[in-house]
Amino acid sequence: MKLNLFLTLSAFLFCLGVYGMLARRNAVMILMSIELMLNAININLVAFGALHGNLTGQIFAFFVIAVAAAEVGIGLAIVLLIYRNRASVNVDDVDLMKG
Amino acid sequence: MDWFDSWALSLAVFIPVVGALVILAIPKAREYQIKVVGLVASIAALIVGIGILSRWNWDDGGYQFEVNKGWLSAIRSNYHIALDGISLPLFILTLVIVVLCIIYSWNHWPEPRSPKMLLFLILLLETGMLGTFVSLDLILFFVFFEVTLLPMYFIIGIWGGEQRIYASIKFFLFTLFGSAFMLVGFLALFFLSEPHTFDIVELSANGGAAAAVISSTAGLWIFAGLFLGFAIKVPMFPLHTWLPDAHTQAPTVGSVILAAILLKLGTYGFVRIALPILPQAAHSWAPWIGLLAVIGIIYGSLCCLAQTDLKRLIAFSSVGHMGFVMLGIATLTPVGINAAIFGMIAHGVVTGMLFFVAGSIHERYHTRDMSRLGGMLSSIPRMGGVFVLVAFASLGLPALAGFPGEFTSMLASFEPAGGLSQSLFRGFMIAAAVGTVLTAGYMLYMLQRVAQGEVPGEYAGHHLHDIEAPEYVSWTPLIVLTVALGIFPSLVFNVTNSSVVPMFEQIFHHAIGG
Amino acid sequence: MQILELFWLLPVVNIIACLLAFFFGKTVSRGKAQVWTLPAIAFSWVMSILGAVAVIGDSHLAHEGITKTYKWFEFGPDMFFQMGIHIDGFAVVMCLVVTTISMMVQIYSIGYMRGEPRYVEFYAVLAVFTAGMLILVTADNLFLGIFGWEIMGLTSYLLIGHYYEKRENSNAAIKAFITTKTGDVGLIIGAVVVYWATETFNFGAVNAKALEGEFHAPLLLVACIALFIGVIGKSAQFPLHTWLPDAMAGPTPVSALIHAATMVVAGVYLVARMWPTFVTAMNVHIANVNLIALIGAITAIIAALLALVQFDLKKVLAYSTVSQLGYMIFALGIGAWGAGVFHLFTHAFFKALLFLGAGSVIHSVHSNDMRDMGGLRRIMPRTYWTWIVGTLALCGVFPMAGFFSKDEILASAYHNGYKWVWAIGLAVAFLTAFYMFRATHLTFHKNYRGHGHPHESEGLITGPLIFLAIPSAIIGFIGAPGSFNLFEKWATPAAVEETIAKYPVLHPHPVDTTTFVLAGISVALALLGVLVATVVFYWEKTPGDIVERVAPIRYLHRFLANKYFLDHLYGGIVYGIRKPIADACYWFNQNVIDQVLNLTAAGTLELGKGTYLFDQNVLDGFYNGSAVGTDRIGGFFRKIQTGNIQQYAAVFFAAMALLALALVFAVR
Repeated sequence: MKLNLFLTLSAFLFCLGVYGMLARRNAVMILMSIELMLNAININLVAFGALHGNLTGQIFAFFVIAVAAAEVGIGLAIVLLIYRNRASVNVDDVDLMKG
Repeated sequence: MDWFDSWALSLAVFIPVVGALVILAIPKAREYQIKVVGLVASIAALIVGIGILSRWNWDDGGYQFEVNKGWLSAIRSNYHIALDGISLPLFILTLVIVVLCIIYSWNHWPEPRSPKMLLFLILLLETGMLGTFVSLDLILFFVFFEVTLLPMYFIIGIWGGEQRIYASIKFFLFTLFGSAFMLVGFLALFFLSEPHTFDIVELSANGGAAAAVISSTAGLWIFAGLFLGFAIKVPMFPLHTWLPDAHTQAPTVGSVILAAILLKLGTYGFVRIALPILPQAAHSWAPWIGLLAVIGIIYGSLCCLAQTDLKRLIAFSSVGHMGFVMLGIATLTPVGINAAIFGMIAHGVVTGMLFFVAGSIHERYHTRDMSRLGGMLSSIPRMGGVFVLVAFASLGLPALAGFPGEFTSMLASFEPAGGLSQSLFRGFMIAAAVGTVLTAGYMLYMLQRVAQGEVPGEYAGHHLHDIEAPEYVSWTPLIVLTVALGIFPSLVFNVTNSSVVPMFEQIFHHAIGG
Repeated sequence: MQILELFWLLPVVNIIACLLAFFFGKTVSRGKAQVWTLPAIAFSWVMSILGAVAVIGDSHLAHEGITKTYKWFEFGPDMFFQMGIHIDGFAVVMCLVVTTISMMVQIYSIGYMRGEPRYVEFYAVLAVFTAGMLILVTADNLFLGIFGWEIMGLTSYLLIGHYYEKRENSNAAIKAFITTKTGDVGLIIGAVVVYWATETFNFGAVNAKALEGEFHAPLLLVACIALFIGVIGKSAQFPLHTWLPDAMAGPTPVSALIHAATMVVAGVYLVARMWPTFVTAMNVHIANVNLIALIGAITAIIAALLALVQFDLKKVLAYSTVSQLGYMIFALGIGAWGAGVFHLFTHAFFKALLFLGAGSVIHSVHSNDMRDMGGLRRIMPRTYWTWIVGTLALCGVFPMAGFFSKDEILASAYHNGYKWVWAIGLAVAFLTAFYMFRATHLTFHKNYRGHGHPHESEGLITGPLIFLAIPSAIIGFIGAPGSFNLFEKWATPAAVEETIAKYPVLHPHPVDTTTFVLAGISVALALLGVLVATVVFYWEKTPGDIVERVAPIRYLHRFLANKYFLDHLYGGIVYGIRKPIADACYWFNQNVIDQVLNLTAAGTLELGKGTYLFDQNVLDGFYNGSAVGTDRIGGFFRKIQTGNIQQYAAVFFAAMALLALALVFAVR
């Protein structure tokens, strides 16, 4: 029963992240949404780890946290540079990769 | 001198690339040092080449200066290099041509002037070309083959004429297209041979014994893949259309290297790889190769007759001349292969020289349009005389370099290898002989418009420089070779024949049974 | 013996002379290039004389000759190419002809070419030409012979185009080279066939195999026909003869040397050298029609007719040369080796003499057109008298050189069963006398019609004329028929003698009454030609008289005259009969044969343009089209790439959701 609660929380957070990712225009908010999704996964990992009674899930979670930290570091740096160049962090204005 | 025997080839191949790296380290402004380093590097490689010649065993038809070291053990590809009588002439020609190109460039830098980059690319190209001629491993061969592609792409694309971008991309795409099929062919050879190997010597030993396990259908397909790769480089009709554009747009040294050496990578690939490894497939494809070769002779010559651009005319003439080379190869006889190698060398010397002169003409008249040229024999008689001599060599006049290759190629196609249709190849021979008349036709047409006639009004007052010092230095060896090869064909034939005959005994006697 | 072994020096010294003249002509010798080339040719001439002495003294040597070879290159032990000389009496005779004429022409040119542009290059090319011809005549094999053959083609091209500033001259040079090169397709193919059929290029070995029947029939015939096509091109035989008159664009000494005495007889030489092979292939000894005789006879008569209507003095001589080459060719074709080669020998002297004489006249009056000449007999006596010697020799008037050679050919044709050739030969003899005296009368007799003030040429020009007049007059005696025939004794190679011995038809005919009757007929016809020409062109009183007096001719004349009356200058019997034929012939020559050649060239050019259009539009269009097509496809798909990351993310999540669903269902 406990597991269901964790999974529900995780799914709620993940959906929140997806919504933020797709709906917000601010690049910083999008990065935050990505963090939200990653942490939703972390909850999942830890919960399943507890279920199986080993540490694998928690180790995975640590990895994800580390990667997320790196990701947000680079992401924020890019956003900062975009802001310096364009005075805007609206992702609709940034379509340099348009084919 | 043991160290020399084992290190000579590697030295010759990699000295240019070392020179190229040194050039990169020199600041752009110090142009003189850059030129000296470039020249010294190419001459050093040539000196190693002369050392190889001096220690060459002329009676031995096998591989000499052989080195076989592990390289990419994961795919069983070795650093296996050596020279034999088939590759030696081409190897030496490459060393000579590059030195001459650098000397010629001494004060003829094409726009945009950047001796540093151009020399860097030429030296890199030299390593690629030399490496291709010495490789005895399919992967090594492929790597060197592709190394030649990029420098030439940049040489055409940066220093070329008005349509350089179009021409360079076309050159790149055509060659790459062919190389892809060639690589597939190489991989198929590796996976289908028993034991799996990329070694050319092992694959071709005893009539392609390692490759003999390949079914004849697979052999046909593999040969077709190799054919695409090599035929585009030659270039054979109908895959030749990159050549006129590339030649016309390339700067002079680019055209010279392209005509003199790069085209030979294709024909050399046929002789070194396609024929010995897949003799039966070669036998099946030979009539088609011969047909395309003969079409190339006639077709290239006819296209020449329609040209107004001097360099484009010479470019199309290459299609015709390489047709003779391919006809020799298609006969699958020792005489034919000898003729083909002679044809490669002669074409390298003569057409290289034609492009040199065409470049100098362009530099003086600022046009290559033959309707605006004329009277070169009157206004710059020495260059005009050289031009006449080389044009006659190109049209196959006996006692000059073009003739022995063409004649022996026709001689060979009268008696092709056993099993090939005699009457078909005799028809090819007659068509090729008719091609010589067409060749004479466009060469004389070119001479009439460029060398003979009155000096056109627009240049009447101008003082045009006759041959200058760098031109003398870079042209004299080629002119001497043009005459020497014509009078003493044995200079090449003795070397090539000693290797061609054993190759045939090994391969075709096993495979086709005499 | 020893001297003959040194004959390889002959071409070599001339090549060295060419190089010296070319590199040092302008600097060291300050433009006088002859100081380099003349010693070389003089040396060669002396060598030839010494060789002739050696050959005359030793008949075995004359027949068998000596051979010196050097292995040139090889493809294995049983397939090798040799560079070698084979010197027998025949080769010595050819060397003598070549060096004599070359030397005279070089001396003559000092005067003739003085002050002309490219004097140094002229001499250098003359020297290399001589070397080329000497290579051909001394070569012991066909492959080396081709070298000499083609080197001559190159020099002929360069010398015809000596005044290349004018487009028509360089056109003539190109035409000469391309036409002969067309023939050379045959030569090359023939050489290849000869090689594979006999496994050698050696003339002696090929002849021996042909005689012994080891050179098998189909290949033998193919080889000989192919080689003969080469001969047709080089020796200006019908139908590839039209380049030779155009080749007169070159300086006159060149015409004398290359286009009369030496290069154009290269084809005749080749047939003579390989005569046993040709005889066997063409069944000269059986049939009384064969390709060689037919082509030779057609050429002889057509060219003689064409010579009738020329007004350019050099063109008269050019067509005359073509006609005489036809004579030599058909002589070989009817089995008269000795007579044909002897005619080659005598013709070289008197035709070179005539050309050089014509050059002297042209140099003096500054025109080639005979209508601007006339009356030069008094002004240029030395030129005139030497010209007369040459003309009489060409017409075959006893005792001039041409009499013996021409008469011998005709007698052999009669005896060997080629009566139709004999008839044509007689007609040609008549025509030859006619056009030569027409030219003589127009040029030297009557009154001067040109402008300017002609004068006798200087000693450097008249000297060679006088020198050449001597052999033209007397050398015929060495070839007098029967046992006096020293020429055949010295010059006939062993292989030719074997051939003659093998086929009874070819045996020498006896000297009897028939011989003298035949000689009488041909001389009478020649004299008739002289007479008719004199009546028409010198006395000019013919037309009405003769035509009105003889009824058949009157009707014929009316018939022809009504048709061809328009622009006739000289009416009369000969006009009435000959002129229309000659005119028609000329029309045919210029508008059909020559046009076919020109149209072939033009057609090839158009074909080239068409091919190029195909290449650029169809073939290259296909490749460019494939590139454009790839570009279009890429252009379509690039629209998906909007650059909006949220759109990418939406697609990503949608796809993930679908995959997750699929996974769920799949697991279930």
